[in-house]
Formats: sequence, structure tokens, C-alpha cells
Amino acid sequence: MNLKRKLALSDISGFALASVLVLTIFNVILQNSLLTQNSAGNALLALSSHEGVANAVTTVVVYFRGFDTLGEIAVLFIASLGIGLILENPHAKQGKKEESNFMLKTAAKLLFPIILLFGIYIMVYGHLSPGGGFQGGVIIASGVLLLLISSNNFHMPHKLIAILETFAGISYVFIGLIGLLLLDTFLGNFLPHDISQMGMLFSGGIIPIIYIIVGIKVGSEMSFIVQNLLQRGEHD
Amino acid sequence: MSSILFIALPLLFAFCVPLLEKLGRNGVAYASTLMQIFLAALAFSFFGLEHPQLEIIAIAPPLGISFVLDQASVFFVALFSSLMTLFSLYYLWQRKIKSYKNEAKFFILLNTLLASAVGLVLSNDIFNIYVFFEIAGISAYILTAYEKNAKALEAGIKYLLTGSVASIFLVLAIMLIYINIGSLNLALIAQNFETLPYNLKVLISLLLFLGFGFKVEIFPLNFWVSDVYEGSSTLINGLFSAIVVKAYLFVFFHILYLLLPSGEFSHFLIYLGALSMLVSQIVALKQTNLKRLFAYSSLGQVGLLFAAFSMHDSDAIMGAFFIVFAHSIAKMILFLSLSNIEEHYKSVDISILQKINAPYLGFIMLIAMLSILGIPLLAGFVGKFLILKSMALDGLFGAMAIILIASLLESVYYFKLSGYLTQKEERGTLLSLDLVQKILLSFLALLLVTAGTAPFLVLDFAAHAANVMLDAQSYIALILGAVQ
Repeated sequence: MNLKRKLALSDISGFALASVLVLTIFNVILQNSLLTQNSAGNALLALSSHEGVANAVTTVVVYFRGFDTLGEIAVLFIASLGIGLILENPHAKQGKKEESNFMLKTAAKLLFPIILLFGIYIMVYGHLSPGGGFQGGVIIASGVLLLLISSNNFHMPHKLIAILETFAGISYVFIGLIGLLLLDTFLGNFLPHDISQMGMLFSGGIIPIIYIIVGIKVGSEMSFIVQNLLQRGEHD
Repeated sequence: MSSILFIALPLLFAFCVPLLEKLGRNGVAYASTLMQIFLAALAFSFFGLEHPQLEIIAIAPPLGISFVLDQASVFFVALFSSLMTLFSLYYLWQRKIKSYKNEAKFFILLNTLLASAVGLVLSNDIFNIYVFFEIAGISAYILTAYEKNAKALEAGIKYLLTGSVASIFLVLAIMLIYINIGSLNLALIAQNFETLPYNLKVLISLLLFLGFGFKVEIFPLNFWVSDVYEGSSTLINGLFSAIVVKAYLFVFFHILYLLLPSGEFSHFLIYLGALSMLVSQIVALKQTNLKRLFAYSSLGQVGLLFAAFSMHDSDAIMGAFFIVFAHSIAKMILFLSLSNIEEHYKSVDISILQKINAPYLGFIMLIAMLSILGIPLLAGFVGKFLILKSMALDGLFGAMAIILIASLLESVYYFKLSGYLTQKEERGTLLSLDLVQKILLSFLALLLVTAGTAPFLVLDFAAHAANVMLDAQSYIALILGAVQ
């Protein structure tokens, strides 16, 4: 396809029409919005201290709206599955990749443990400081990406990651079901979450546990996605 | 038993699959089917329910997410879980002839699709609905592209693009609602929607209409449907037509009845639905591919449903429930049988119906087609009759005329197909079905006949469900009453 083709009249008119539409929408929004102050979000943040978790955002994400988080995990799970399924190509030959330079290889070896540790820290301290499972998981996946691009003979431990991922997914739903059994609400906080413990590592009942589970799940799914996309690039 | 199990169990199963794969080739398939049988039984156990059931997650509404199981939603939950069960059972025998590659992943997608369809129906939190909207969407994109041939991939990408555009509109609408009302709970939104400025109300309604419009396959936004049906495999088309679009239809009208209880745009929506039906039937006349033909026929029925639900009239909604029931079952029959025909004769061209040598299958398909057409003594007739009757009572003669003309066009091609099936022609080799498949198809056909000959058996339930679905006030009271 010729990328340099001139702007056609239809492109310009389409663009103009789209801008008029967007401007109209923004005009309506700006002129009419009420910007309410007493939103559900503020109410949830005010309530969050009851769960004994220092990071109020974590309480909202993992506990009050924990079901949405379970849904997001499912979205990530099937997206990763779909990428694996569509890009999988059993006939592809193992392509020869250019050897990466010495500096990258050495740096990757040195950096990976630190990145892993940092990711785990972000995950485990998600209920105390900014961060949490999603962020920690993505950091770990970035470390895996570094290893994948730096070395030709690095193979992801597929079995281990698959086991971790399965374990994480199952235990998320199981924790929810135990809450349903004990407290009559799905994802009920059935572990002690005394407010006096707030700020300690062991506080907040099930909230830090779920966030670590989310971290494991996100880390393994993102690693699979990265690996699938990277291998596809090699073969073509 | 709690209604959360309808979503938690399929998700749990999906996460468990790598473990179940260790049980061997059949482990995943049998476990999935067993779980779906359990869910279908659970859904039927809720039918006797006197009062709507409110299921709270973590924190009471209006702050938290909650699920409402009332007479209207239990109908859809039971329909989806039992159709999915029948589909799985059918596939257990179908896979002796033709099985998908990576079958474990196929079962994961079936179960996430079921969980999200049920979630769309039960949830009363608009952001939670968006999450299920995405899960259903992504599962459907992957199922479309599952066979990985050129057509399937093209259809998958088309579906992905339109679905993403729909998501953008929906998320914009949710954002505006949250900025202005400060809540994501449907009951609280419904209570405060009246107080918004008129322009904003129109904008939010328009964005919601566009967001869901792509998914409920209504006229100007349904250009992608026939390509997706043609590209994806025939079995999966049955799921799209019987489950996915019905879930979106329910949630669209559920939100519409809550936000606009007095029916502000109802005339526009009724005529849009009728027009959608007319256009689809006109296009269907020219199709030579059976998959595309059935896709357009689906679009026509969805247009009829859209018009009926838009009427804000409990009789019409009752008729719509009948059509949902009849159309889901009939399309399931047609697509399941078509997949057998496709496997045996390697063609989905319209002329293949002249050559098939399968008297039993042909008979069952004939019943399904006649039910979609609305021939008396079949379930589709009751639905169409109720809808047209309430249209006449409401004085909507224009919409009625359009629907009747569209039905006439529908009868042209369905009678042509019935003719092909019954003609005395030179027939090909005999297509023999497995006994279990025969039983399943006969069961579905029997349901159509029973609901058509003895509608009084289910009329009371349908009337009650229609009233419950239309009654926004008691829905709001149920959810907000839980606070005090």
C-alpha cells in the first residue's frame, strides 16, 4: 500500500465531521455536567479504614469492587489464551536471531533478580503503599521480557508458570466462595482485619492475599503474552 | 443456594482447566458438561421463587456490586444455562466426527461466555455490566477466529473492531453517568436520572444506545453480523444467535426501563426495530449461503424483539419472552443440524438442502423453521401473535404493517427451504445421526411444539416475568431498601 498517498477529500471531510461531533459532545458535557461531590468513590474511601488497610485505594479495588477485579483477571486470562491460540504456529521453524551484545546479556543477568524482587515487593506491600498486584505483576513480566530479548537460549519455565497461574486463579475464586460460606457474601473478609493492626505487613485480612494472587496471575499472563508476541516476530 | 454460583463456578472451571487436562482427553469435556448440568438444575430450582433475591458482594448497595435474581432474570439464566448444557452434550457426540483443536481452550471459552451472559443479566452495577460486556466480547472474538483460516480470522478482526468501538461508547456513557450522578448502581442512577439536564440525558441515552446497539445487532449498527456468522464455525453460530445476543438484548432493555420509565424514545425504537426486521428480511432473500441466510433471519427476529421490548407494554414483553424462547431454541436446532450437514456434505450452500438424505434431521429442521415463521401450534406463533395484538391495541398500525410485510418476506425464503427439504429429488448419501444427538434435537423440537400447543402452561409465568421486568419502581425499592 502506498503510505504517501495524498489526503483525499473524503479523509478531510471525515476528519472534519468527526471533530464537529467530538466538539459537540464535549460542549454538551462541559455545559451541563453537575460534577457531583458526594460520589460513591468518596463514600467508599471513607469506609475503607474499617478493613484495616492503610492503602485506601487497594481496599476499594480488591475488596469493595473485588468482583470487578475478578472480572478483569478473567479478561486478562482469556486475552492471553486468545493470543496464544491465534499466534501459535506449530510449523514455524526456530528462527535464528542475531546474538545480542555482551553488555545487554550481562546487564540482563544482573538486573533480572532485582526486577523480580522489586515486583514482589510492590505486590506484597500493595495494601500499605502505592502499587499492588497489577503493577507488581507487570514489573515481573517486564523482567521476563528483558531475559527474552537478551538471550537466545532462554526458555521460560512453562510448567512452573502454568502451575502458578492455575493456582492463583483457583484460589481467588475459592477465597470468594469461603467468604460466601462463612459471611454470606462472596469475597467476604473472613480473616481478622483489626483496625489496630493497620500499617503492619500482616493486616487487612484477605485483602493482601488477594492482591498477591492478582499479582501472580497478572505476572504469568503478561509473561505468556510477551513471549507469544516475541516468538511470532522471530518467525516471520 | 446463591445466584453468584452461576458466575463463580464457570470462572472457577475456566481457571481449573490446566489441572483437569491431566485427567486425559475427556476430562475437561466431561467436567465442563457436568458443571453445566448442575448450573441448569440450579437455575430451574430458582423458578419457584416468590420474592426477588438480592445477592450482596462485599458491601451493601448502592455502594457495592450486587446481583438481582427475579422472575425476569431467572428466565434468561435458566434459558442460557440449559441451552449451553444442551450445546455441550451435543458437542460431546459431535466431536467424534469433528473436534476442535486445543479442545480444552474451547471449553474455557464456552464457560467464560456462559458466565458473562449470566453476569450481564444479573448484575445491577453498570461498571460490573461493562466488565461482563468485555468478557463476553473477548470470548466471542476468539471463538469467531477459532478455526484460524482466512475467513475466520477476517471475521474475528471485524468483530474485534466493532466490539471495541461499542466499548468506547459504553465506557464514555458510564463515565458521564458517574461524573453527574456519582454512583454506578443502576437503582440509584435510575432514581437520579430524571434530575439531569435534558441535553445530558439525551447524550447519555445516545451513547448507551450506540454502545449496546452494536451488540444487540440493531439496523444501522449490524453491518458486521453476517460476516461474523459466515466466518465462524457453524456450531458457534448457534451460541451467538441463541445466547450472546439475547443477553445483550435483556441488559439493554433492563437499563432502558430503569432510566426512561415513561418511554421517551419508544416510538423511535419501535420503528427502528421494525425497520431492522424489514431490511434484514429483504437482504436475506438474496442469500445463497445458509449461514448468512440464518444470520439475516436472526437479525430479523432480533428486530422484532427490539420493537416488542420498546413498547413498554407488558403484553408485548410477554410475547417477546415467547419469541426469545422460541427463536433461541429454533436457531440452536438449525445451526446444530447445519453443522452435521456441513461435516457430511462439505457445503453450506442453499442447494445442499435438496441433496441431503436425512429424513429425521430434515423433519426437525422443518419444525424449527416453521416456528421462526410463526406458524400456529408452534412457539413462535404465540410470541408473534401477542406482539401484534398489543401493537394493534396501542394503535401502532404502521409498525404492524412493516412487521407483517417482513414476515411475508421471511415466509418466502423459509418456504423455499422447506420445499427443498421435502422435494422428491435425487438424494446424496445417508447422513446418520447419533442416537443421543437425535434425542437432544427432538427434545428441543418438542419444547417448541409444547409451548406452541399449550401456551397456557407458561403464560402465567411469562406474564409475571414481563411485569417484573417492566416494574422499575420495585426494582429500585428492592436494592435501595436493602440499605435501611
